[in-house]
Amino acid sequence: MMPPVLLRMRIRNPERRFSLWVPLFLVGPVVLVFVLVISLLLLPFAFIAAAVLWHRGPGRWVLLGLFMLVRAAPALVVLMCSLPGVKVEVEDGPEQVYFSVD
Amino acid sequence: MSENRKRILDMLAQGKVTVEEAERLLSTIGEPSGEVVSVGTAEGAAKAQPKFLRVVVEPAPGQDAKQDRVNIRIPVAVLRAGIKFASFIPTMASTQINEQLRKQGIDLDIRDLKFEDLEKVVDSLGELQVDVDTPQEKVAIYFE
Repeated sequence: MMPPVLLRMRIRNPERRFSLWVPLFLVGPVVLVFVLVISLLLLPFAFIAAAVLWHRGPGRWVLLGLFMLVRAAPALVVLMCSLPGVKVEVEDGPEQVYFSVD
Repeated sequence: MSENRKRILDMLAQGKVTVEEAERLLSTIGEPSGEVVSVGTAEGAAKAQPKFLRVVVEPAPGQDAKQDRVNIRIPVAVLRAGIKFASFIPTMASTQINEQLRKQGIDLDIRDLKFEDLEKVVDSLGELQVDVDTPQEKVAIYFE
C-alpha cells in the first residue's frame, strides 16, 4: 500500500474550465510536518484547557478527543494509503467534474 | 496479446461468458507484464478478492448520449479502512448512539460490531452486482 502520489481535479462548464494537479508526494510531507509542529505547539494548551474545564465536564471530552486523535492516527494513515485508485467522473450535460487520486 | 487476454476473448467467442463478464475479466488482468493472473470462468473470477467498488450510470441505448453520466471507482481498501474507524467510537458515545438507534426502532448494539465480521461482509461483496435498467438510463453497481 503506497501513499497517494497525484491528485487530479477537473471541472468544466460552458463558461469556464478549472484544472488542478497536485503532486501529493511533494505536498504531503510538507503538510504532515506542518501539522505535527502545530500539534506539538498546541498540545500543552490543550492539556491546560482540559485541566481547567475538568470539573465542569467538557474537560473530559477534550482529553478524550485528544486520546482518540492519537489512537486514530495510524488508521488515518492507512486510509490515506488506500486512496490511490479513487476516481469520480460526473457528467451533467455540458458540465463535467473529474476527480482522481493516483 | 497476453495469454490471459487471449483466453478471455476465446471464451467470449465461444459464448461461455457475456460481453459484460468479459469486460470485467479484462479489467482485472490489467496488471503490468510479468505478473501471472489465473483466469477461470466468470464464476471463478467473481470469487477473487474484490479490488474496486464501481458505480456506473449511463444513458440507456437509444437515449441522448449527452445525458447524465456517472462513473465512480472506489478501492475496497478505503471501505476496509473506514470500517476500522468504528472501533474508535468511545463507550460514552456508543451508549448515546445505541439510544438514538433504539428510538428509531433499530435494536442494535454497535459495540457488538466486530471488525472481523465486517471484513467477512466486505469479502463476500465480490459477488454483489446490482443492475437497474430504466428507459432513460442504466445503473450498475458491482465489485471488480
